[in-house]
Amino acid sequence: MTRYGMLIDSTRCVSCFACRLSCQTINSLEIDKAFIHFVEKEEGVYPNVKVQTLPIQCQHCEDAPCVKNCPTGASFQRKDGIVLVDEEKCIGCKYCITACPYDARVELKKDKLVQKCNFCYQELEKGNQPACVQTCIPEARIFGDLDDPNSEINIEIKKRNAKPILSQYQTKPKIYYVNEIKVQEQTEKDIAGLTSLRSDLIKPAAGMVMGAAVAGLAANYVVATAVKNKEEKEKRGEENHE
Amino acid sequence: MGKNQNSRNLTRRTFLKLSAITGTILAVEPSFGVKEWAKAQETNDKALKIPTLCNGCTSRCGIIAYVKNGRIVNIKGNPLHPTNKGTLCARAYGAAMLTYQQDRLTTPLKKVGNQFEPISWEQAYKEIAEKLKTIINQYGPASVMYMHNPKDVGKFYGNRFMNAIGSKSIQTHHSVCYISRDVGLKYTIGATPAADTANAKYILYIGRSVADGIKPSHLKGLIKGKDNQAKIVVVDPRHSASANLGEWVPIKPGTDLALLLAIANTMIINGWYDQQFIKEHSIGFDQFRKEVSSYTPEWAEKITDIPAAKIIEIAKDLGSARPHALIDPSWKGAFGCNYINSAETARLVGLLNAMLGNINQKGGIYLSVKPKLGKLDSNLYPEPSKPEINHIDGSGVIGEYPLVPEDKGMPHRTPELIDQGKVRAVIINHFNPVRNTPDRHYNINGYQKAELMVVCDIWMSESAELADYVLPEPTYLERTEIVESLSGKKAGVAIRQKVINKIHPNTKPFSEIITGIAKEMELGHYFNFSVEELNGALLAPTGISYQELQEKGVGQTKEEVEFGKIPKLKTSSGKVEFYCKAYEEAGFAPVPTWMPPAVEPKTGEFRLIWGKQNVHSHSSTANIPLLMAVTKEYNLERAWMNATRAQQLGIKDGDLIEISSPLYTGKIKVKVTHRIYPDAIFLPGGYGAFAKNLKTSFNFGLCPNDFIKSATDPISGNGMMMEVAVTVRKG
Repeated sequence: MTRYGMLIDSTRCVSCFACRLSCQTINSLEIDKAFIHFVEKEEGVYPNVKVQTLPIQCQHCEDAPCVKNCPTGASFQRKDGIVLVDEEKCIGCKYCITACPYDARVELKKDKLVQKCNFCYQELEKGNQPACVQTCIPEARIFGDLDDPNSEINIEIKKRNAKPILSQYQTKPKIYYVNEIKVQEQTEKDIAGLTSLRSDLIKPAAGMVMGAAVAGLAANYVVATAVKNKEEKEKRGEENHE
Repeated sequence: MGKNQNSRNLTRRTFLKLSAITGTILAVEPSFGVKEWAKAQETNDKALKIPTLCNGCTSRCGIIAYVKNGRIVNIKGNPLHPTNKGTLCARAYGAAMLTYQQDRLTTPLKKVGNQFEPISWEQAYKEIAEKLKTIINQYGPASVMYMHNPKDVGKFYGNRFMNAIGSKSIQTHHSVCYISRDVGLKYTIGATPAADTANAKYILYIGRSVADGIKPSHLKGLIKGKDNQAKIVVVDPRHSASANLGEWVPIKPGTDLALLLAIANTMIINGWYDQQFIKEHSIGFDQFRKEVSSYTPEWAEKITDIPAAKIIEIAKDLGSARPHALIDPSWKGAFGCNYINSAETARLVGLLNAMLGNINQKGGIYLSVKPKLGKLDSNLYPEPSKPEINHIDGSGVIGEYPLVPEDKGMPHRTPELIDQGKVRAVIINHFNPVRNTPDRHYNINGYQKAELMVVCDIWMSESAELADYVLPEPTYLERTEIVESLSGKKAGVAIRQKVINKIHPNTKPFSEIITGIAKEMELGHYFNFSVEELNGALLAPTGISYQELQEKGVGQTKEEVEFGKIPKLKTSSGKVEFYCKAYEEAGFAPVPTWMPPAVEPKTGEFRLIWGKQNVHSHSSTANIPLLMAVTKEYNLERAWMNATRAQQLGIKDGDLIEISSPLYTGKIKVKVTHRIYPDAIFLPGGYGAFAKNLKTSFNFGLCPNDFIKSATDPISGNGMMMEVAVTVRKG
């Protein structure tokens, strides 16, 4: 069987945003919507300082909370492990946004639906690599078949001791990271952005499928708060430029 | 991957729906928007894949444009192009949107009073030609200035036009980019070399960040070097995006020369250099040895703030790894255009590389080869001769700026030349000097006095706003330019060609604009050829057909660097010059000597340093919404401030700060970080647009040029872009 995964070597990443832009372009996203976001972590005191950037996108978790939480079955996983969204089924309820520990899902406002990295499955069908891999100048990304023990990605995961991040959520993500700096608690919060709101929802949800019936007041409150926080975050960003 | 292997797949219809509704990146302009894009997708036509050259910066990487129904739907890197080998940086994707940008100019404009009015091309050509003729008759041809960021098409047509009118007044952007690097390296090793970082065992960067000012081949070279276990040392006041790939050695800005002098001294004292190479291939080494003998690591420590032990370690490591060791020839960085001592720093870079015996050695520096291109048959296409006059701005003129290359000039000096009445007319192509050279008001006041200012651009830049005539060009995706040289380890050619028809039919490429003006000046006989005819002539000796080049976008010619063989250098002696007669004749120290920066920040002040971010190419991309979205999301416009200094001033991360120089005061949010030298403030270049029609970048962020007084380094003619002290307080 083929089971697609990716290695991201943050010791090679120079935070140039090319992956984000190539992804936005090939997926024809709105200008301010991106399937890849970046978390920067600085450690140390001048002059002994290091910085690391983690590009974050859909981790195509094998135990994907978004799939479990999707009330309509729009989020699904293919046999090759790629998690996709069937837009004809998506009702834009955003439960998946709340469920994702990686903040990897994006609400496409024009469409009133949610999308995310799709590992460029259409490029794969043409024999190409995902756009983010193709464009990466310092070759910080390796894509391939995790089920093939001789694949480059498997060899490099072992060689570079690459590991998934936020593994405590036990979603079995398929993106492996090479880090020099340990991803600490705070960084995890940065990655998730909305961890405190999310954790309550994720934990019970991890083991069960959240049906439409569960989408009661409580869940609505969480979703609404989450969205509000995000909007506030965006608004704050806008005020930065005087 | 077979489809049936998967339980489900998105249906074609679903994909179309996704595309239709979310399609905005390359479909951003409403009239060419969502519906058009969806329609393009619905056709069964395969996308045309047309190779051309990017315009996200000036490195001109190879791209493949995917075109459906006359619309660009995607771009990818051209795997055949040696600069980027199939990869692309963020700017490439942003630049691909330029064609559909709402701020584009669509018709020639003439300033009447304070307003621009649309005019026809015929009127524009006629009026510009008449005005030029009047100015030339009255003040002489040297009073007509041509300013550009030199690329092959602008060099060919622009310079030919200037030759035809008899003016040598040509300026490139180099005095605010890398003129000092080129001067310093020219007068030591004959030319600016390239770096074989991929095969090096030791790489020393002085202020250059290949991960911020990305040229893909430079970044790839660093990564390959890292993969081959090279020791990488990045000397920079700021922990740049490259610093993580090696060891960061912070330095007091403006003192790189002291570091290099001390490295030279240490290498000589300890014999850590290639004595045989120096004996056989250089002149003046004894004088140099004597001059640097007082520049000890302890001396340099006091000036640079780099511990003496670290300086000795660098010298030793360089020497041990030679000849597979190099000091990167850099770009703008520490010695391109920033300090009064930049040309001397560049000389040391040339001389230290020579001491490593690394010229044209694997893992060292090498002198790139260029393709031999043909030219138009002058019997059929009369060629104007080069005028034998002095450059109006003093470049290359004895008694003025004798060492400044006259083909580059000093564009930051033009406002004062206009003020003095020496320059009367200015033609600007592919350049925005009003925003991108120091001192906004000096620039505005100067250019406003020009009797004729013509700007060719795709949008209303700060320079265009001041112009009398603004001539709109099609974007790089809508025009075919002339065959370009690719230099490197192997030489080659590349072509930028039209991948879609013009979106705005009343735009014209620079080659046509110049031809149109020339015809009205009765100089049309110098432009009696098409771009296609010119390209055929250029390609003739290469054995590559025009058709083949159009299909592949790039072709390799036969020239190749002979590694291991030391070429004859293009210095006046043909050897490495530790003692330079040209410097002596010009009244400068023939042997490089310590020279402090011109401005020394007082206690409590900061030096304002600045540089490129990898999502932007100065002001030329700040107005691209896709790239500005990244800036805004990640607050990239912030000023960087050292955490300890910030704490002393009661400034917290994200606070608004006020930065003041004698010239300008501006407010900006601050990034408080340990990644910067305590007495430096870093600003990203490229923001702070003040042209009101640049709707995305207008009035956003700060531009370092506003804080800097226009000045000129006497040796290499640079604009002294970091010779400025500022005060900072909570805003």
